[in-house]
Amino acid sequence: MQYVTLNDGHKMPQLGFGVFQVPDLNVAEEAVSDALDTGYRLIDTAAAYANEEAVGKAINNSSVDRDDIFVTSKLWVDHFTYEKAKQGIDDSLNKLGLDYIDLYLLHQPYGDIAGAWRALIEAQKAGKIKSIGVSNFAPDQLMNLELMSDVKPAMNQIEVSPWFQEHDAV
Amino acid sequence: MQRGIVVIPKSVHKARMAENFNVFDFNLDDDDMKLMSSLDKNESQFFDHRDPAAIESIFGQSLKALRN
Repeated sequence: MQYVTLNDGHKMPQLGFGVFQVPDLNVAEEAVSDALDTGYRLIDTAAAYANEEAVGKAINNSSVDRDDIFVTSKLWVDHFTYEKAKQGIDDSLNKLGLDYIDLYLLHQPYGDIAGAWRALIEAQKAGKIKSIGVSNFAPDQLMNLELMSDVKPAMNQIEVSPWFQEHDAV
Repeated sequence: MQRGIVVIPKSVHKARMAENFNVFDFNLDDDDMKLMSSLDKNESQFFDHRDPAAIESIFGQSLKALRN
């Protein structure tokens, strides 16, 4: 596996496995188990994918050490205030059944970004999350967050494909 | 991956997971990368994150929940 080093020093596998649009919990659990068997060590889920339970089960039942697996999840927009974000982080940890999440992202650039980001920083300090970041942020939105906070996002997860190459954002 | 980006393919088929994992034993040369680069349509396959109508239809309910 190849790894990239995030701006906070944590290493992340460069190839991962995502479970967007796999709402059936049994299917999602089996897919993540198969992915870990295949050699994937980065698993990407989100509160909005409604399958964090299945992802956590597959990870907890795997023979692969937890520390060798990099788990990404994301907070949904309906939890983007400081108080609701704190709850959302705990909800994700409970559903995943994990002691920590490797990377936790603000899923979309809407709502009270500042409040939700503060909750992520606190959860990182508390050891609940190793790295914090965002998703679907345009370059100017990312810049605003970086200007606003002492903690820079370790990741901006965005859509990239041969048809949408996003050279400016990357 | 040659652009240094972390990638997260999805499949529920183990055979395709294995195919998608099989990316560490080759490189695209500069000509191939240029050819790939020429395919860019600069258009999301999902939706425009700056389009108010798209935002309302996808996030309207969640943002409403946030205001209450």
